Amino acid sequence: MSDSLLRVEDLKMVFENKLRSFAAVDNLGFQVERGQTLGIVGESGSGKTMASLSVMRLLPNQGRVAGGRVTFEGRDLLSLTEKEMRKIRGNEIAMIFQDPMMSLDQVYTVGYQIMEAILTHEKTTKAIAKQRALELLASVGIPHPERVFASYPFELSGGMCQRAMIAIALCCRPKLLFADEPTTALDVTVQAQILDLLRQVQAEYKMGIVLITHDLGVVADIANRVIVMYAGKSMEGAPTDTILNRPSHPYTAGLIRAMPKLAERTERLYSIDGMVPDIREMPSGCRFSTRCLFAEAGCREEEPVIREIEPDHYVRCHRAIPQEKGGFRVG
Amino acid sequence: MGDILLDVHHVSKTFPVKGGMFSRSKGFVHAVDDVSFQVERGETFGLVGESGCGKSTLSRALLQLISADSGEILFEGRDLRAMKGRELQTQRSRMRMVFQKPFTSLDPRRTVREIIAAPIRVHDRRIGAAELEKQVLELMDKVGLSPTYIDRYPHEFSGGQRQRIGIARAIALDPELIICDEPVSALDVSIQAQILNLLKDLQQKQNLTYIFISHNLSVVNHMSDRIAVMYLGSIVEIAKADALYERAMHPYTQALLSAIPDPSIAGKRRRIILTGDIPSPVNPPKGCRFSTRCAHATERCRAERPRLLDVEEGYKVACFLYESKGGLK
Amino acid sequence: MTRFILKRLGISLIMLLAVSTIVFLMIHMMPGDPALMMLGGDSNPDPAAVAVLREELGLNKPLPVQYKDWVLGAVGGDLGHSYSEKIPVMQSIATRLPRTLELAGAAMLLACIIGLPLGVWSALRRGKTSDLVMTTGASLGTSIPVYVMGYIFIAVFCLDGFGLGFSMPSSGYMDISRSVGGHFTRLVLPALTLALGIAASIMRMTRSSMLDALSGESVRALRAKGLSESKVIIRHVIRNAFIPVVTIIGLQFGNLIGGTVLCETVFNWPGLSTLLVKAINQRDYPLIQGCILVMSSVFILANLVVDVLYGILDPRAR
Repeated sequence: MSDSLLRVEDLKMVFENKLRSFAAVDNLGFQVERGQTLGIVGESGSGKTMASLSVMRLLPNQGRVAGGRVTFEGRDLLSLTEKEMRKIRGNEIAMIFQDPMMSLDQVYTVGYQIMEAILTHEKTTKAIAKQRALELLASVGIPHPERVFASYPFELSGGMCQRAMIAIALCCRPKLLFADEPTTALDVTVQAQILDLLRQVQAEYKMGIVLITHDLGVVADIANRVIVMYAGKSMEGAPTDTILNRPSHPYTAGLIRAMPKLAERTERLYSIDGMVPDIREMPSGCRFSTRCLFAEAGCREEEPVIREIEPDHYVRCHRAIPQEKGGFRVG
Repeated sequence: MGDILLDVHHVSKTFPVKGGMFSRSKGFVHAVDDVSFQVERGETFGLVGESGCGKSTLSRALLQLISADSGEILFEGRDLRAMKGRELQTQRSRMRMVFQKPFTSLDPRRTVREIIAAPIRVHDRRIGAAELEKQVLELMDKVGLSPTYIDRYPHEFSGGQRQRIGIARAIALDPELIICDEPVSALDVSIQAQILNLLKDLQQKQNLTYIFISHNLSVVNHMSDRIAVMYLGSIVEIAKADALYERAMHPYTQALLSAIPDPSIAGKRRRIILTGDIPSPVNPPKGCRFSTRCAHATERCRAERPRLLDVEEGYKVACFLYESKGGLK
Repeated sequence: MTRFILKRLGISLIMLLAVSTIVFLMIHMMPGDPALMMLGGDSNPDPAAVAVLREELGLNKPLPVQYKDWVLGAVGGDLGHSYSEKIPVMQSIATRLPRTLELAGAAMLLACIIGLPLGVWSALRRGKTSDLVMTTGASLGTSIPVYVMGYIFIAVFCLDGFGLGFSMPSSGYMDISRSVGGHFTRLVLPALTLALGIAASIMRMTRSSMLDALSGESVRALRAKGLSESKVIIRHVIRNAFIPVVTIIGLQFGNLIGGTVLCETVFNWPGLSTLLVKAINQRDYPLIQGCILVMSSVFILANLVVDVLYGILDPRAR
């Protein structure tokens, strides 16, 4: 247990102004091991992005971590100073974002931005940094590294930019990578290439990856374990195969049924009624109770805690039991 | 083929590209290149493709929002491109569009009432306020919006609700054909399902014909009766939805299918990873547009463009691999 | 890039021609006769003398001919002879132009020194009291007219209004060759008066541009690289935010050339604007045309420089 790459326990993150405070992430816990990929799945408002920003300590102005522990290789990240944290960012823990066009600075060349990342953490010469940058570009599958090195982001396609971002993220051989919707803004065929690249890179660097996405299909592709988040809390956590084929939480099951699938043509899609509750108006009791087909009176009174319903399968639900034992089936 | 509602013949549209202030004209974007297809009344015709394939340009050309350079677009036998003035305006009430971005396709300064009423007012200038409100409320009911929302502004709604407003606006004039341009791409999965179900329900109740455009093949497959796959401005394959999924003849279609992250088929298919990026639609490759990334490309593919031919009943492919089968009636 | 510049210069020439045509027509529509003016405004001069003078000045020729003569002259570098000053127009302008340029230049420099840092600072301190104070100050700066501001300065600094114990010269111009100190003490106040209004709009533009740049996802990604906050702000945020600001600065300079007249009047700074006003009052057609031509040229040139600069700063515009 103590050699987990990253351990998050009971994380709580709030948005606050002078009058009130709202929790965007509450009681969140997860672990990532070296060489493994954890998928955090959730729709908008689930808190998945805020959770990763909390670990990186990159929260927006009105946000702050209000509780919990974040341990990276035994070190408590929440207690580090900003200066110490900066040594870790881009170096030991890296992050890539959804829209590469927005994340790269449009007035500097790609090469400059890679070199900037290298030189921030390592004392080498510009010439060596440039050499490393070119090697990195080649390693992420860019066919003409020198040309891309000298290009501005707006001159490149979305796929190229995302590769460049990955190159920047990898420049100091990080141990952990957060990937926040890395393929959502990309075309499907390019998405496949990028996911392939991430897999390849992970094997090479023995990196842990936290993949944040709303797309269960992407998670099916590269994650070992999945956590499903809803309205700021984790609802279910299990190996990928279990989540996809034997989900026990009504939300997870509903989500899977709501996706149109190529192999199963249906007339109507199963849809979960209602909408994600507003952060300011969370229902009492279980947060999903207002939309849950299986909710009972007790669900609206008391918030469920995480239970291990079978080995390595955690669910936050009063009533859930494993599917084979008669658990929820949806749709 | 049943009753053909829309008949598109050899439509092309090219845009000149200029660089920034200091450079000369960089070339031409062949956004839509010699596209032909037919849409039957009552069906959902899916159009799938990635960026640069021209599907958005095509949809705008169909609606006469931009003017195609060449070709014919026949709606119930009449050429849309020849219509002007009154006739065009009436036509516009029969072909409508649901747009991609629920956050930007609604005027933030107008209430729901005004947004939905706008097209009604355009076509009937003398309609009274009471009658107008009645129609708006009916439409809101059809799309599942509570009547209490009628005087609210777009920013007060979620993405899914805004899309419902957009749909209400589209069906306001009881159209025959609706072009849905990526209507659910910006929405969460659970909301996406709601909207797709709504679209299907409306289709039945109002006898609608859809052209459903998306880059997401799973969604298109779910919604459509027939699907056309576009690549870099041309259609490469047209077939019935399940046939497409089972056979997927064109190499691009095969790659597209294999790339889809779909948990139902994860791990059960052979992944075809395409090399390189989608070439720029400015100055596209000579010959077959897909030849630069195709594993089966031959010299002929690089020199000559394959035409869209029938390989069997109701199944067309534009690829030399299947040419021997081509021309079947 | 050369193609771009050549094309713009071509358009500029056409614009200058258009401007001078319009001005030509306008001044000839004004009531008042230059010959009458020259021969003695109030007193009644001899009509015969007036007629002779009009003939001499070529004022009896048809308008298009007069215009053609002027244009041909201007192309050759001869802007004609000033009626009121009795010297070639070129000479008249050549003495005055540098002074206005200096005033405008000094004002822009001061405006940047004041406005840019304040804009950056107020963006970084957004929402806090200091931001509020600065934004209000900026509003004041743009609303107080030049002549009010000018007279306030004179009252304070020249007439020792606050009892500061020293007094600056309030008017006039001293050539720098006579006394450097004297020259600059007479430059400071007029430049400052002009600068404050412009500094205010530079500050507001910078602030909003900075806020735009700060809210982008780009900043988060940069921080995720482990860059120090100062590098993020200086190397990336400011670099991006200043692009639109630079163009505003260039355009303001162009505007200033023709807009210094109030300031020059208040401080008795003998520049191009006051020359133009005098010329209009005297119906000194050649001088009016000449001044307008020169002012338009400077304005158009400033715009051209701004466009080129924009292309240099922002690679997307190339």
